[in-house]
Formats: sequence, C-alpha cells, structure tokens
Amino acid sequence: MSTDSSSYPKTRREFLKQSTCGLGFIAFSTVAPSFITQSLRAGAPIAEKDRSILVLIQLAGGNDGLNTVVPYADDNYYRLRPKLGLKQKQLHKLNDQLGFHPACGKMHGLFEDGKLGIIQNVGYPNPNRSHFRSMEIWETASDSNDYLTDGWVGRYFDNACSGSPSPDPAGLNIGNELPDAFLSNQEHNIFSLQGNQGRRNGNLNGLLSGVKGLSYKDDSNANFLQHTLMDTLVTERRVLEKIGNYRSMEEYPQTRLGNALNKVAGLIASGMETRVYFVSHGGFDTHANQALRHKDLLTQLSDAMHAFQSDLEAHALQDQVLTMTFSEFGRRPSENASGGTDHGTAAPQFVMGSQLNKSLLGQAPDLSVGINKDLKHSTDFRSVYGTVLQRWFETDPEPILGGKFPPVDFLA
Amino acid sequence: MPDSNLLAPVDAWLPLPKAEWNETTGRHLASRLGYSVQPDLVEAFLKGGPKTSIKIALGSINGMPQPEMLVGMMEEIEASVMSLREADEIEKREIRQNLRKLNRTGYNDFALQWIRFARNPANSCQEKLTLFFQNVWVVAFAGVRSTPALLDYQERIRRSIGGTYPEMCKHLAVSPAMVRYLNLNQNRKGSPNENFARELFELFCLGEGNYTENDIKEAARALTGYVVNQEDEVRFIDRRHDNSRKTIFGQTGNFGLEELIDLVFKQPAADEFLPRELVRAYLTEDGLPDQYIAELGTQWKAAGFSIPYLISTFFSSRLFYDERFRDNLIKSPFHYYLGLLQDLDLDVFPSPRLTTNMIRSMGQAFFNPPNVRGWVGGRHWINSATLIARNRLVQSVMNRPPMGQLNADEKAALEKAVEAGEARLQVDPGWLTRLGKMPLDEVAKDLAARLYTNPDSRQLEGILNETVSPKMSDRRKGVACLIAALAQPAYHLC
Repeated sequence: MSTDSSSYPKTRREFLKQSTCGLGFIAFSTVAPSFITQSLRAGAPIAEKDRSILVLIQLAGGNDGLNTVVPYADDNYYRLRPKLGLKQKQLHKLNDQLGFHPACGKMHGLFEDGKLGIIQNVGYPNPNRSHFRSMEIWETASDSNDYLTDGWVGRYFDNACSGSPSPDPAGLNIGNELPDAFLSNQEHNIFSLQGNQGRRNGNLNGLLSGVKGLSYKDDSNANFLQHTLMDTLVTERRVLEKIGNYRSMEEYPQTRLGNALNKVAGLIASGMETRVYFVSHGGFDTHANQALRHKDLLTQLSDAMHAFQSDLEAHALQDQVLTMTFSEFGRRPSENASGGTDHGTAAPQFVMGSQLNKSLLGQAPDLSVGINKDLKHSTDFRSVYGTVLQRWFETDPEPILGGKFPPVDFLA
Repeated sequence: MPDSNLLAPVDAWLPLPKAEWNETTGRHLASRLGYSVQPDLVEAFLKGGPKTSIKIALGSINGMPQPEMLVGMMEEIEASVMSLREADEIEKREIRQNLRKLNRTGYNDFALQWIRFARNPANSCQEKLTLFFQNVWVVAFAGVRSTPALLDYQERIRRSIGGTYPEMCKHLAVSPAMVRYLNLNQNRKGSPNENFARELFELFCLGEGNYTENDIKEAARALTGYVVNQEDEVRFIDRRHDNSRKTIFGQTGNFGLEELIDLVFKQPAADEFLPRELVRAYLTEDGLPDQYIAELGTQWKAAGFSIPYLISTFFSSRLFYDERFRDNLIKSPFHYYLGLLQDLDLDVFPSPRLTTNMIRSMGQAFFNPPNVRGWVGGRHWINSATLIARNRLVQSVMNRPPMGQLNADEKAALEKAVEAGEARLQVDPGWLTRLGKMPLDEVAKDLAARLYTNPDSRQLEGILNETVSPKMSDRRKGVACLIAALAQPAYHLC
C-alpha cells in the first residue's frame, strides 16, 4: 500500500479553495479526483476550454420517417399508406415535395429559420431489423456484420479527449443506463443522471466512506474503484448544484424529454466542459394504432427541441451547441393491417443549431417499392457522424469511424 | 500483471500443496467459485481441501425447476403457433403480437426464477459456471425471441458441464436458440449464411487469427441443412444440405456438423481457447502469458477436453492461489447482486420488473448481453452509473420494500412470497441494532469476515470510527456501519 495522496496537497488545497460545490469531503479522503491526478501526471494546466458541444437525442423504437417528413407529392406514398397517409393540407410545407407532420409545427419554424436541418433517407448497407442490434450498429458505428465493443462517441473521447483533465465528465447521459455510444477503451469520466423529475441518484452519502480508506496500489482494481467512486461523487455534487442553480429562460414542456433537455441546458449554461450529452425519447415502435401515438411522440419531440434551442439562445449559448437525433431504423413504407408500421430501414435525421450550412440534405427515398419492401438508404449514417467529428469537433473521423465516408454539407 | 516471480509454467498447474490450504486460500476459492465468503460456506470448503471443495460445489449439477409461469403459458404458446398455419394476414399479425407478449412475459419470469435458483448457495457455483458458458456460447433473447428455446439452451449447458467441451459444442450448435440466433436456419445449399461458422471459430472455439476466411466459407457449407420451426424443433433437411466436398483446415471430405467440430478440436488453438476464457473470467481480467495457457491447454487436450478435468485442475492449481491474483477481480453485476443477498440473508424481490431493472442498471441483463461477444467484464463493469446503481441496491435493502411502486401482480407475488416464508426483503433490523450496540472493532471484524475475501478489518475499523457518531441510535449506527462496509472497494472485488 502506498500513500500516493501525499503528493497532492497543494493542488488539492487549491482545488478546495476554488470549489464552490460543497466538496469539503475531498479534504478527508485519501484519493484525489482523477482530474487532479491527471493534471499532475500531464504536468500541465487544465486545457483551454473547447466549447463545441453535441447533444444526442435518441428516438428509441424506430421512428417512422415517412410520416415525419412526408413526401406528399409522391402518389406512391398514398398507395403504400391508404390509412396512415397524412393529408397534404394538414402538413407544414417544407417545399413542393415535402411537408412536416402536423405535430411538428415548432420544428417547421426552426427549419424556416435555418436552425433545423433534415438529412433525408439515412441508413446503412445490409440493414438489420432487430431493435437491439440495429441500435447497437448506430451507437458503435460499425458495419452491419461487425461487432464492436466501443461506441463512436467513446472512440472520439479516446482519440481526442485524453490528457485534457477536467473536473467535468466528458460525456453525460440522462437516464439509468449508460448508452453504448459512450463505451470506450480508455477511462473517461462518464456520468449518468437519473431522468426522473427532480429525483436524485439516491442517497450517495454512504459512498463517501469508500474514498476515505487508505489508498491502494496504483494499478490495482481497488485503486481504480476508489478513483471512479471519487469522480462519481464529485461529479454528482457539481451537476446537482448546477442544475439547482439554473433558471431557464424558456418554458419547457412538462415531459420527460422536456425535463431532460432542460437539465442539459442548465449544465451547458453553467460552463460544464462536457462535450457530449445523451438523452433518450422512447416509444417509437408503432406496430399498431400508430396515428395517435406518433402524433404525441412528435409533439413532445418538436416542442422540447424548440424550447431547448430558444433557451440556449436566451443564454447566448446557441453557437456552441449542435443537437442531433437518431433512431435505430425507420418503418416499412407500406402500412400493416393493424394501423401501424413494421420495422424498416432508412429514415431522416435531424440536426439543430445556429451554425447550420444548409437545411435540406441528402436524397429523398425512392418510393416505387412493392408492398412489404424496404427503402434503400442514400446517405450512410457514418457520413453524418463523420461530418460532426470533422467540422464540429475538428477531429479526424477516419480512426474513429474506421473508414472514409463522404461528408454531408449541413456544417461548413 | 504477472512478473518474473510467478511460478514456472510447468509448476503453475500442479495442485496446491496441502500445507498451503488454509482460511486464506479457502476464502479465495469460495469467492471465485461462488458468490460469497459466508463463514459456513468457507468452513465446508476448509474441511475437504480444494479438490473435495470443487466436488462439493460442482460434483453433481442440479437441474433448475421449470418456471411455473412459463409452463402455464406453454399450452397457449403451442396453440398459437399451431393456429398460425390456417390464419390469414390480419390474424397472423395478432397471433404474432400475442406470441411476442407471451414470450416477453415468460422471459421476465424465467429471469426471476433463475436469479432465485442461483441465489440458493447449493446452486450458486454451478450457475456461475453456467453463466460463464452462456458468456462464451452467447445467445440473446433479443435475437432468439423464444423463451422456451432459451430455457432449453441453458439446460443443455448444465447437462454438458459434466462431459467434454466438444460434446457441449455439438449440443449447443444445433439447439433451437443457436440455430435462430446465428442464422443457421438461413444457411442452405446454394445460399450459405456464414454467421454461425464465423462465431464458432472466432468466439466459441478458436479465437481470432486461427482460421482463414476460406475455412469459414467451407465450414458454412458443412453446416447447411438445419432448420428450426415455430415449435422450436430443429431438424436436418437433407436436400438443404450441401453434400459436396469441403476443404477445412487443410482437410478435405464431405463434412457435416459433427466432423466439423471434430476438425476444430484438432486445431492447436482449440487447446488454449477455453482455458484462456476461464482465466479471464475466474482469475484475472488481464489474462496470463501465453506459455501458462499453452501448458494448461496441453494437459486439457490430453484429458480429452474434459470440462470437469479443466475445472478441477484450474481451481486446485498453485497458480490459482498465487497471492497476486487475490482480491483483485471485479464482481459482475450478477455476482454483486446475488452475493449481497447471500451475505445479508435476503430473498430475491419477487418482481421480475424491479429485480431485472436493478441488475440491468448495474450493467447486466439475463440472457441479453450487448452482442455476440458477450460481456467484456472487468473494469468495464465499473463507471459512475453502475456504481450509483450498486449503491441504490444497498440503500433499497436497508428499508421496507417500496409498496407504492408495485402493481397488482407484484403485490400478489409479494403476498405469495410472504406466505412461503421467502420475503426477507429488508436487512433484519434486530441484527442492525445488535451491530450498533457492539464495540466498533468487533463490528469491523464481524463485517470484514462476512463480506470481504480478505478479512483483515483494521482499515474498516478506522473508517467506522469516522462514520459513527455517539448521537446515533443503535440501529442508525448499525445501518451506517453496514453501508460503510459495503461502500469499500473490497466489496466490489473478490
């Protein structure tokens, strides 16, 4: 057993002095949070804040793209969807071909203002129709027949965010389970915050004693546990404090997604150095009686996205944040007999921000398909990720995506 | 990582000398073989020595009772499957939806019943091993979607543990779960599907780099002809089987599944594959230098790839007890959860929803690993989200169950559990008060012996001194001590 903590007093004192988050407990523990350890190891001050932030919104279950961005000018659409087809006059027109679902009024407004981009018909070759597997493909950014144990965001952290010690988590997820997208090979501070309204992560005070013991051998798992525990406690206090202090300038819808994005706005506004936020909006698996269900889901999405963007603008943060939706697949073009749609392939992806270059991108899907046949994607989702990595995070996408994918022009 | 002081490879797998069999080595074996170092468990081990202990733990494998709910559903599942044949499109859709629902409900119940079965110390070691093989030969509910097929798959593993690994491979390859999961039923003469052939080599038997792409192509042809129907029956259909000659690993012949697996086990890589997996799961996530694995592999091959031989040799070896491997393996979520229940004398909460959600938020889901590689484990189990989830579990057993969160079914299940005397869902308040009355050095001794592989209590005693204040009631003291003891890194390790 070594007492490696003895080498930190100066930094620790400094940290405690600056700490406004009631982190007094650090004084009584024997391990320092890893951002202090790392900064000592790196022998460098904390890196310059780089403030390009990505917010991912997962549409879990498979969002019906054709009824979200509706190709109303194509007779095939009404041929394939005699019951579910949305009438032209209800839609929010995007152009003379396409219209937004009636529930997407707010998203339509964002589109008109150039703050919302639509990338049409995004998917990948050899599509897999299992929710679970297809979501994994999207989150790990793998080929359809390849199994990766790390996520695309995790690999971004591995490639671009190591050695820049920060007290803030690199990735923050609102929800109970860590998304696969965040899985990485190196250790990064990744944090999950329970999604339920106002509920904390339970009583963590009991965990304090886990960081009070002697420190353990450097490369031991006990040492790793102790540090992860310390990071967890520090992050939790900082995050809750920041959320508690935040006053949003915008009325958010009282929905799970609205609450989650409200929290994200609070954390961004507090100056957290977190690079990627992850929130999930579930329930899109609309095999039966889709019409009403889908309308509710899109209302929640549209209203929450709009509130989030307005809130960012009210705090003058809009230039730092890019928001992107993704879903494991679209639905089949032809409706089924239960007033719903079955698992399909390609669907549109949405990007939102003040820095968009263009608003309508990619090729629309070809709807001249038979009943129960699928759409063929025209943009690979890794082209979208690659564009975010290269033009938003300014990092080389190739090692992260394991190949070259042509960029999509939504960012300059 | 092992260094130059490690035993030489030729000595590493020799049995531990009798003189070194003591409380320390006994606790190490108990914590690795099962989920807990409860004094009475360790005691039973100490009487016998390593080989006898392994026999006690794994000598005879108990079958798991059929989950009642699933058995009750089987008739409806079978009737639905039969009626699919005459149904029109609209009816088919409804039947399929109902089948999905039945399977999902049955799966949740199966998960709960298995957790209960594994929680019983008499089954813990064998179920840990069953889970180990489930994480080598991976199938997932998400891909199989038939609960009866999963039940059958797990039972095949259990029944194979007493035999050889090639036999186990043959049993699992043609199980309805695997035929579905890795698309063997889409693998037919003239249009092969290589999914299973690839994983058989890469993830189940040989490891990456020990076969060529051409071996996979040819093996896929050897595996053609198997189909699985809606009733979960696997059949071999001759006209779907590619009867021509194949060349695999340099051998040419008209091979089928049996011959293919025999060929696989003639590859040198097959000697080392399972020993390597065993070392990662049960000894150290860092693995061992190749020459150690090679030595164990040579012995295992000579023993005809017998699974009991491998288990017995490994768990009674000098290397297994080497002190650098003690108290440094991170418990999996199942280990942590089941161990906690055993250590605190608690029953499984009789709600599939709450129990599986709890374990899932710690990072593991029954028969649903993230992908065909299974769980990587080790440090991957630990991050802020999973540590918070582990803490949530600890907090939850200190208090009464959350009656307000239960639906009608769950309340009924809870009443049934109360009647059956299986409703110890909260740590015994009497015990907590007794703990609170004891001097702290004794509390530390008691808890360290009960909870940690290494029962040295000096560090814990210091921590308890900082944790407890004289103002607390006895019960509060007891709770604070227990929570502090469970928060130590030592409790996440075995």
